[in-house]
Amino acid sequence: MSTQAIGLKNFATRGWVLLMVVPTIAMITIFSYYPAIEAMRHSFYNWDGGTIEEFTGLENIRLLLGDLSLWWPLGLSFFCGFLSLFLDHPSVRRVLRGVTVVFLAYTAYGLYKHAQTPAMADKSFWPSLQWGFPWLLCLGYVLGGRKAHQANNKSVKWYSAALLGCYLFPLIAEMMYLVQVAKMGDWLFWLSFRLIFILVVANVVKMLPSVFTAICVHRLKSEGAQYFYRVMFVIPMIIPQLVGLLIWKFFYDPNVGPLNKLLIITHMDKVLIWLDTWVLHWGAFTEPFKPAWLGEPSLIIPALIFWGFPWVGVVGVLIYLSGLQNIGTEVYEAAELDGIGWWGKFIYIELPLIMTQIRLNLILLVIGTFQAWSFQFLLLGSSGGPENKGLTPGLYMYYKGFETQNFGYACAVGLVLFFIIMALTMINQKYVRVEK
Amino acid sequence: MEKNKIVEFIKVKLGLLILAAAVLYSVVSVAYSHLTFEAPNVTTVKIAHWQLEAGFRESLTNLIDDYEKLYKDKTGKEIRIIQMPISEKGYAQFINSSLIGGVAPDIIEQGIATTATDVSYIARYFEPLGAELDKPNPYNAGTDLEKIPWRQTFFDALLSRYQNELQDYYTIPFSMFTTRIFYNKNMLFQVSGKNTPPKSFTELMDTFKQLDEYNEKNGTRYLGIAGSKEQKGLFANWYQAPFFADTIAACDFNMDNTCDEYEAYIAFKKHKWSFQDENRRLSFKCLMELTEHFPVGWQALNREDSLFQFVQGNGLMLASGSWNASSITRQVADRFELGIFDFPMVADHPEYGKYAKSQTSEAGVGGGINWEVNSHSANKELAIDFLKFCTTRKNNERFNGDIIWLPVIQGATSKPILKPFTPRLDGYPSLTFKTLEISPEANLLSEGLSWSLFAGRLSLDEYLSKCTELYEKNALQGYHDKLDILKRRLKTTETIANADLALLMYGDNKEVSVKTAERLGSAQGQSLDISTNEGRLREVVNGEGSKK
Repeated sequence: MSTQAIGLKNFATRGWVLLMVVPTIAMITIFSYYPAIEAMRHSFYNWDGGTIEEFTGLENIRLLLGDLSLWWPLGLSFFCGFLSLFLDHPSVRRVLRGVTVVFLAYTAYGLYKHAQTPAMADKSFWPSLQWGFPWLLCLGYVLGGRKAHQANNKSVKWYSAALLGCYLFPLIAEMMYLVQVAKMGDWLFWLSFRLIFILVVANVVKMLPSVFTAICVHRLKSEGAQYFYRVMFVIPMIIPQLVGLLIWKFFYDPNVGPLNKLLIITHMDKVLIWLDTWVLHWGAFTEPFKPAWLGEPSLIIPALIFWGFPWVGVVGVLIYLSGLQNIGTEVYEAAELDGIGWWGKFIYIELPLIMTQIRLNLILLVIGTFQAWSFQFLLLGSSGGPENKGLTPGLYMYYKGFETQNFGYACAVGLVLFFIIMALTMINQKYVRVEK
Repeated sequence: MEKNKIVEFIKVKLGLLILAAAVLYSVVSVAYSHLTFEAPNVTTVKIAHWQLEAGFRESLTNLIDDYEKLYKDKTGKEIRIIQMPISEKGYAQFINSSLIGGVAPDIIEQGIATTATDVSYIARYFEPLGAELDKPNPYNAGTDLEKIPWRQTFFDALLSRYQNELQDYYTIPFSMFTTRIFYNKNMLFQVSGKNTPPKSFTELMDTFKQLDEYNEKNGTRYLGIAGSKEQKGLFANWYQAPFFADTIAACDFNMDNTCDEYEAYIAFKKHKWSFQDENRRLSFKCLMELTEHFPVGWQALNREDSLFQFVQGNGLMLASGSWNASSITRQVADRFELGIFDFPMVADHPEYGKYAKSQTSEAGVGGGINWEVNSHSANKELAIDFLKFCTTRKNNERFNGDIIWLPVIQGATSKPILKPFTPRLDGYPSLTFKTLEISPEANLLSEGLSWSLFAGRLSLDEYLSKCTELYEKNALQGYHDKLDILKRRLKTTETIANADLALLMYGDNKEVSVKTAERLGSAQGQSLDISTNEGRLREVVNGEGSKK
């Protein structure tokens, strides 16, 4: 059957086919895009979720981020610099880099001026942070960019990564300056990222068991055994997540939960007490050994990281398996003829060929981690538990929206979160390369 | 061959078959639901609540069945009343979004959701019931309550349900609740050799001490109190709030017998209280003394966890309300003998008694399970009629008798098991002294800090000094924000004028005072007698009021 493109010429006769996609587009528009656009609109309003709706411009964003005059040049420089990474035209790229440097210089100037104001006179916080890093970045950017341009493709990747690092330093420096020194913006919002950054790193590590499991299942000789394991990985998907949450909560229970009992039986309690006494100084592991994993401020983050051990994600394994199934047996046979061992097959054959799936999982993981809130809410309440250590931006958004009825502000939190996730997704797309 | 074909067909099309079956099932379910409940000749009334306790839905269903039958006999028309039980965690979201979205149920249980509890939202979304309450309840015909206004048939004439700000009644209660301590009689005897529960706070602490000794001697791990987050809240009502009775009286500038967040802030600025006050320190000390007998990690435990521990016979005591009496009794029936006793108060304690001078009164206990009628409902008359039907003496007694709760209609009797829950009338009024609640930020952070305080990771001094810091940093902004919201929702109330004036007179920030003065200037044209308020406030805040 031949395929035919629908264009202006044959639209009258074939255009009706497009009606088939109308329901899907309508559903996505109504249930995905419309709420998102409305949320963006309301982030510029003082909105209580009901009838109080006053346009306040950038007020919510200003309350959230602090003095916007210190943010917008950095934001613009970031945008221009980032855009330049995706453009191939050398002259356009050069112009964008020039604009980036100008905005960065302006950022440094703004920070310097702000630091000189009478209100900031008595606050010294590593003065170089205030303006040194943006200048360093300018230098690094110009030199790095030139070298990257001259170097081969492999080096370009590393130089690009170095450039990205150059951006992250001033970004973090500016955040620290604004939040800790200038005491600007909503620092609870910034505080909520603490757990997210830790969980993103932990979750990236927690991806590995799924990769290894998928490879083990893929390498099974028997097709029946492979099928059995695939089914075994699908079955847990039908168990509600809440059940998993309750099981893990019971697992962590300090009084009747199996974790503490297991640690005592294996004498790990002695090791943990020794570690706590001489190294960690948390005061969480003492005699009698009854650590409250979800109630101790110092244990809450380790408990959340350990959650789900051995971290074999059901969806992840199935996605990797689908990628591995595309590898033909002839590839393995050729590798064996070349004397490649099991590790070599993993590094040179399997890993490169499932990078598409890994990148997809990485994107979903970052988005999922940044949006996380329900898990923390169910486990620790809307305050985020001990010392608010379980607070995430999503949970803070929920708190502002549903507990203080400040929906406009909650939408602004969502908007900022959206841009952060978008930037991270773009970075992921750019730097996690798929080379087959 | 044929068999193989069928097997092959199922293998290939299994997914599709399951999908088709699911779609068919959904279509039939929806169609059945529409035909049964939303047919053109059937009126549907929806009633939303979060009461998932065993027996509640069944008790309500009994009343619903009777009402539906009665309605059909009376009018010849069909009516369906559908319960929408929603879990506590999701209730706020469901009610907030459905009310704002205009698709809310006809009758809604008040609580948890801001839109169902905040006066400004109540005015917007719910039906005032004052006029209906002034008329007799037609379903009381033929009884001694026949000619009495509906409102007067309730045990407290609904005084506790009057909305001062809105000058009307908006809720109809079904039950009444008080809290007590449940205890394991067998364990108490085993541990202390006593058959009677402790009568004073000192005796209570002595009992816990005996339990610790018993555990040490016998290698058992019984808990003094099967504690949890919710348990802390229940104990705080009796072992923290009474310490602030004098402070509340001193800060109640407008003499309405309560101290709202605005008054508390002004009083703070007037140095009438601080976080370092001895009564506050002792109130925390008293509560912490109790939570020491909770299980380790209790702050991460929920109501269900503590209940489970107690009914399993692992805990000596559990604080809970009359709403749980029947279910606890049933669950422990074959395990141990259950006792119920009143919270031993701290008045006779040498240290705490200085501030908590008496027990807290339950004279002001209002009705519970309060129903509001959605003013945008097409069936609000029917909804009100159903509530009238449920609150006759007979039906209220039946409803509460089924679930073993305390009824709210005069003359209705309760089950003998509920005798210990009879409200105690003597003592201090039960009031809470709200401080950090004025600012959402301060509130959120203090909640996080309280975990550390009760986990022993933060000393009381550190906690209180952090609270002072949080309050000083955030309270003024919270004051303005709350006041602004209140103003936008309720154009003129005395609270707003008083709060504004107080800030103008006693706020130490000139810029703020100027802004407030401007705001007040624009309010001069309103009907409030600002000068009277100002004069009264000055008298009260400067101490002249108390002399009078």
